[in-house]
Amino acid sequence: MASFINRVDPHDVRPLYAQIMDEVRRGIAIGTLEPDAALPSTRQLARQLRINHLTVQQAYAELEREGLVYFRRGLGTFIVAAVLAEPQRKVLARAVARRALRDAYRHGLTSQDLREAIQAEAGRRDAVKPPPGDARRR
Amino acid sequence: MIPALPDRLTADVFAVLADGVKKRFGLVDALAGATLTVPTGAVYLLAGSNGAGKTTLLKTLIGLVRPDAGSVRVLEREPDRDAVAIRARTGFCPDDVVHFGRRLPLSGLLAYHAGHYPSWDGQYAARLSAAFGLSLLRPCHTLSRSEIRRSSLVMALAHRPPLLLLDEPLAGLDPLMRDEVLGILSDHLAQFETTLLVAAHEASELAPLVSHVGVLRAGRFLLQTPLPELRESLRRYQVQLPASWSADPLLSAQVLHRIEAERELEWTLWGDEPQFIAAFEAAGAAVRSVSRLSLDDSIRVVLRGTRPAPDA
Repeated sequence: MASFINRVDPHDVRPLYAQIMDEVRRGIAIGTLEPDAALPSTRQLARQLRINHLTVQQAYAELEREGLVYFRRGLGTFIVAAVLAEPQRKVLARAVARRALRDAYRHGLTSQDLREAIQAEAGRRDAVKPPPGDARRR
Repeated sequence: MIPALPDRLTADVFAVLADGVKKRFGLVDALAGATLTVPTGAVYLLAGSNGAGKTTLLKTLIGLVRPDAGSVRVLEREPDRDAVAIRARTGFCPDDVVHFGRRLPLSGLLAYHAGHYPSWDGQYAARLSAAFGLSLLRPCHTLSRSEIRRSSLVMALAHRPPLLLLDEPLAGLDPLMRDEVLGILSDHLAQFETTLLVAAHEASELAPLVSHVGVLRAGRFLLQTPLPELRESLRRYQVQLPASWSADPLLSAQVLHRIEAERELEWTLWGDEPQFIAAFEAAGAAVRSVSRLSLDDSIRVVLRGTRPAPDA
């Protein structure tokens, strides 16, 4: 069984269920969650993350509404086969950008400041060679 | 001015409903009109400083403390009349040490305890004891405080009651054991239909389990709310001010915590974010950021921010 998430962060700006949803998107985007891969049961994930099982249920239900997973009665929750990795990368990237922007504004920076800084930082990293995809977990 | 916070919960189905409960011990009002609703299936964190009345409130629910005034309903019964029936369907992990002075081994104590509960699951009790690192052969009078706490948790959980009342279940446990207890609790809640009312003055580790929170001070609730509503309503606003500025009364009425510097302020407000942002902007101020608070910070801010000014 693919364990797609190691921990949640109660201090994160995202509610816990949204963190679980983002980790599923990440798994799809980087290929660790393949079509028809089974997600852990609600109980397993609740126990593993020390969270309320209703939070896991909420995350899975939202993912189903978005068409990323399907339920099989008595069997569990699975990744939908037709989900494409590329759009999930975009959804994730937008969410990361929103958080970075919020942080930039908090520090009195503009989106232009942030864009320039990202380009400069990314340039330096690319010179060092980026890791291919994200095969390793955090 | 003291901000208006929701201090009551409504629920169609509830495991616990206490209304205007008062209890005086000598000269101290332990409970001064506490009104508590715990919806069925909730994980309700009862927060508050030491001496706020958390333990007394829990004890009124199972008839260990008899209130001077007010009404209490637990699992459709009244502890005044049906304390035994309520206790049979409740798992209580007390904060104080009880029944542990005996020379019998822990297994004997568990067996004695099991006799009171038809739904006691001996295998589950054994699994829990092992997970909590308890040796069943140890004589009870030699158990440490931490072992007593863990044994009390086994006794509260092993009959899979529909209602769990845990008073400071993590107090005195080392970090690894606290983590183990949290794992067991998450698993237990996912497995059995349970309402959990947990009293604790430290919220951070329990926060990911919690669905509702109540903040108690001096025997009365300052705040009772579902967690999503707390996340929505309690926020910290970092604002840049114009040269001259006067706060809209809408804003100043809802401030729980304020830090102010020249031309900049950071206020923690309870209420509707778009409305607050509009009020700041109408006064010529620029909202630089809005952030959420952790559950611990939220509780602290409520406890501090609702204190009447000393000269008031």
